[in-house]
Amino acid sequence: MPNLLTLVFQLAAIIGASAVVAFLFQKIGQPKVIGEMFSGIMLGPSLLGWLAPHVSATIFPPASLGYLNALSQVGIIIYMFLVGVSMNPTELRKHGHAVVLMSHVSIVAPFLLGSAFAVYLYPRLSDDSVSFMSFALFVGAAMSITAFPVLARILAERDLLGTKIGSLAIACAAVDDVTGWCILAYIVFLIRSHQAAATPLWVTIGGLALFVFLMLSVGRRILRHFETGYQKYGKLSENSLAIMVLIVLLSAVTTERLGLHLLFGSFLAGVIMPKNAAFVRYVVSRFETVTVVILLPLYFAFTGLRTSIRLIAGKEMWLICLAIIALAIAGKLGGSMLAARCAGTSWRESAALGTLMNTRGLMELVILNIGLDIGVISHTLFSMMVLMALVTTFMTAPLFEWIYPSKLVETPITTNADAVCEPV
Amino acid sequence: MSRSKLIVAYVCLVGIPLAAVVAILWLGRQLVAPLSVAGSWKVEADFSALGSDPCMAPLTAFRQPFLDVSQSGGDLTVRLGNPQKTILPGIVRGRKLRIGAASAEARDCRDPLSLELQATVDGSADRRILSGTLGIVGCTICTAVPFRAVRGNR
Repeated sequence: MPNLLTLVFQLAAIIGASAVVAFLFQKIGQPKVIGEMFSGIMLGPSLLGWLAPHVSATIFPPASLGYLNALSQVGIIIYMFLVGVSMNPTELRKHGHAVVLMSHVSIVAPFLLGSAFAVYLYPRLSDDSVSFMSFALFVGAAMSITAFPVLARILAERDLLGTKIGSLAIACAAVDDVTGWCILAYIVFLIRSHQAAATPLWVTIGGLALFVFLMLSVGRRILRHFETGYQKYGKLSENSLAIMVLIVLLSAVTTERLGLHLLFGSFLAGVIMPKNAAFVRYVVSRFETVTVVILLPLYFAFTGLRTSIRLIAGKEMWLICLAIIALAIAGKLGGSMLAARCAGTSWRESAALGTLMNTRGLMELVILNIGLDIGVISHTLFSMMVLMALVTTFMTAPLFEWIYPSKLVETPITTNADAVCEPV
Repeated sequence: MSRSKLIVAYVCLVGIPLAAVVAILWLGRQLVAPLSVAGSWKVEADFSALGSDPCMAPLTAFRQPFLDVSQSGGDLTVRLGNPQKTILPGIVRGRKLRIGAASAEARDCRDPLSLELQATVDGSADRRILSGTLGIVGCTICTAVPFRAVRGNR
């Protein structure tokens, strides 16, 4: 049995620290989520465990972390569902071929740089239990990700959702995230298929094909009833919300049992939800408070407890860390900017788009945690990439404001901004 | 943007880099990473052979798994199975593994920081075995004892 007092104390410490740091970050013009990410790192061995190891050991005894992890995983399952709910694939069609070019370049460029750098990293930071292909694919995928929810929040806070640049960024980020998750699914499958207790290959492939088919046909039809009910009564009953959660959890368990990961199932359940703007807003609002205020800080704290900046010891390790950050920025910001310029966007707008696409945020942490769980990256590389996620997310807001000041923001091209996405 | 320009841009900015990624993945297969030794290790050894009481004292308090190894490339961080959960650095180079602090850090035979393991890594990645010697750095009385270790959870 968990020590309930310890768990409550941990919750209080995490939520309290998260609220304070997020408030301070908002004061310097950063989105709240970046403060929460930093707060999580501060509670881990990088700061609290280093400055006050006894306090850290008292608040976060190693034996209690399993319960904290379980709670945070529930939060991230719901959160990934909300990310899926917020995505609207039909919006992508409005932007034509240019968005396809931009989004694909913004994936391929950092992917190429990441996998090329993996040639140097593999003998230094990996081991022979991981194949080079899995390692390189993971490093490439981790560098390619864009934090769709953080991006949506930055755009919403600056009233940019309905503008040309805002809708382009959202469309590209949505494609990036879906592609990134598909690559990650392949890597997880690749790694787990080599493990002794792995799900047989035919079960994974056949089961996934059947599952996706069922979700797109039967699942979508069931979920449509929720939208109908909402349009009829203007709200959903508690029972309907419970059934919705049940579908998300069942979907998550199914993908896990098929040899992938819980989060793919919850994300898929969100993607197939009806995309009526008012309905999406309602669903997000019903889950957002508990997830974003209570459970997500737990995830950040758990990530922070696994991150130790002290593992990046010595000149060579710090140079590797700096190289990872530089390559991630060059690939994502540079690649997106180049593609946008080729598609006819002005240099300023191209640079602004590249800056937005360079946001990695929470999605990066989710991917890195999966990588650490399946053993494809070491704790040291995990810590380096968490730093990369923090730096690239932190730099977005000020760099964007510098490149694309508020006075240059054009009038929204659509008044139906919420239809594009709902910031989670 | 015209269709032909789009195709050219797509080939240059997506097609060629993608081909480069495939080439990297293909060529990278020849790269060799350090042997994996991360995980919990159960050590089998006759600790009584260490001889004198001062040397025996810390080892009798050990519980299995004797070693809990976390790895980043060839560098290891090893948590011992003693009550203090002593942490020692280690390295793996080729098939040779060494765990132990620099001798200057060790105070006496009873200090867990005095422990030193030298081993050879054998077996495939999923059935890895360590065989070598376990001794006390700088102790003039005791001699290193042979041990064998098998990996449990990773």
